Amino acid sequence: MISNLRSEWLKVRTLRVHLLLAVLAVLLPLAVTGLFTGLASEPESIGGDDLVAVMGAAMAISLMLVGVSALLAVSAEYGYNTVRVTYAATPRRWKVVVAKLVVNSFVATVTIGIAIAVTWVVGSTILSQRDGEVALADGEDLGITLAAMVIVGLVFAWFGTGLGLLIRNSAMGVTLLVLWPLLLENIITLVASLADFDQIVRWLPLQMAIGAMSTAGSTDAFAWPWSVLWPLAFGGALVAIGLFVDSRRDA
Amino acid sequence: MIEIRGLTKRFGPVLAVNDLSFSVQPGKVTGFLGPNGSGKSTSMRCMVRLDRADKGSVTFGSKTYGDFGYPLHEVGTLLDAGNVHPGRSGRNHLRTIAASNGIGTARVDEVLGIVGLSDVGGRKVKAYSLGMKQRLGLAGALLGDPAVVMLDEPANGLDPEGIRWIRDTLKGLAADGRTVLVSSHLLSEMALMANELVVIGKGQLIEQCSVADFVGRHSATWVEVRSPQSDQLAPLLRERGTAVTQTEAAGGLRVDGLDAATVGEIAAAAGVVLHELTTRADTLEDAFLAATASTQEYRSGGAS
Repeated sequence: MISNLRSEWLKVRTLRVHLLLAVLAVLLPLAVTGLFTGLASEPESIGGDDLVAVMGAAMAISLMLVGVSALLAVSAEYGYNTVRVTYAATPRRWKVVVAKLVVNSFVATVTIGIAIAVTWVVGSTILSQRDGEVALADGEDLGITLAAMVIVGLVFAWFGTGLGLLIRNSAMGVTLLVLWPLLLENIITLVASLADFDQIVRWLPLQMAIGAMSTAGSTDAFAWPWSVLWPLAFGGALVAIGLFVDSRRDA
Repeated sequence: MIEIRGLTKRFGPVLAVNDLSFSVQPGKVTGFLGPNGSGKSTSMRCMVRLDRADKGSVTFGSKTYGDFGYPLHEVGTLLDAGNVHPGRSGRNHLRTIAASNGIGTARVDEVLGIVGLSDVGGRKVKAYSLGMKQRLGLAGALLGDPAVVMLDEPANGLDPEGIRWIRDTLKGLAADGRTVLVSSHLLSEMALMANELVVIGKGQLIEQCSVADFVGRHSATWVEVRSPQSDQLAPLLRERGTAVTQTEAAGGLRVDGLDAATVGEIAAAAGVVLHELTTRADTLEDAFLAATASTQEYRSGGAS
């Protein structure tokens, strides 16, 4: 298993696209937060909860990017047929899938963790130079909100991994990953409300995950930490179904 | 040694491999031949479990491929040289495969040297020619120094030097006592390289035998004779009940059913001058086409 982890880590490390996506995932929320703190007309009135709220909104794109990175780590293997080389070297396919999941989780956690740390440090530094001051103690459970961002990064990495196994096509997979929270779950919400079945809306995994980042970890359906563990379980189920299907298909 | 017993693989309504059984012995290069669509590549993919066989078994020694924890140390495969990410360097491609089987970077550099890619190992694969990708694929097959090597069309895209190199390499691997199974459409190459042949058509075994036996069974021998007095010689040969036909060469005759010595004696007795007297035989290609004539899935149209 350690050998598979080494191999999958090498695969991610030796393709520039993964580094590029990780850098973008850090820079985008940094840029948005930098603009917010640098251009705010009354910096002294900005508190830690305001800063975290802006970070959370800007982080949505970073989450997509770590999800796309995870998806490409799987789907590119099918796109270039390197999966045949991979599975010829490791006929027990579950080992490869588990190794990919672990590596994608690591990349997502580190990327989102760095994005949060850098954005907070830069945002608070800009504010302090403009006579503002922010601290994690400014708002209620800001620490939980930041932790929720990291776990939601994991959710997107697991979704990406699962969709990569199921869809196998990079373009289709990326499209579905992006449209899932933006369109698919909104359509379900609309249909559910028309059918007077609003109950289901509170359980939609990616909306719940993104929602948990702005509400101190709690959502309508679940309190912290179940509000992020349910979407994570949903992502895990996608991976499990992907593994089941993949192990029964020809490579 | 590879043992294939009753291997069957179906893709929907198409029976790609049909109850295929044969064995591949160590110490020999075994050529795996068949027309396009005969099931060679599918069989090879089933052997290493990339495709799920519907029936049958494949064993390497006494183990199945799935029994190997680190299969690259037992079986090296090159199924398609194009199975490489173009954005990764050749060396990094090999490192990812090697790492999955606990093989170190030193061995990666060693096999790059063996296949002659040391100088370009750091270059991205998208800059590689097909021949370079074939060499990279072979390097991947050799990573674990395996006892069994299976290669699907390894000479595709190689230049003459590369073809000679792969021939010598595979013969060298067999001489080391390894089991070598190689498919190729270059039948002239196969004739020079292989000791044994496995010929399949429409997913079924047609024949397994030595190259010499295969050519002997499926080809004809005849005598080619050239003489300025061929008009005088031809009736003399026909009197012996043999088939004599004119060839494109001036004064050339093809004589079926007599050996060269007899033709020479008949000519000498009649005082006929000969400029050429040669025994000819069909090539492996002719023998292959004869043996697989009824199993060709895709045929070229006749010349217009």
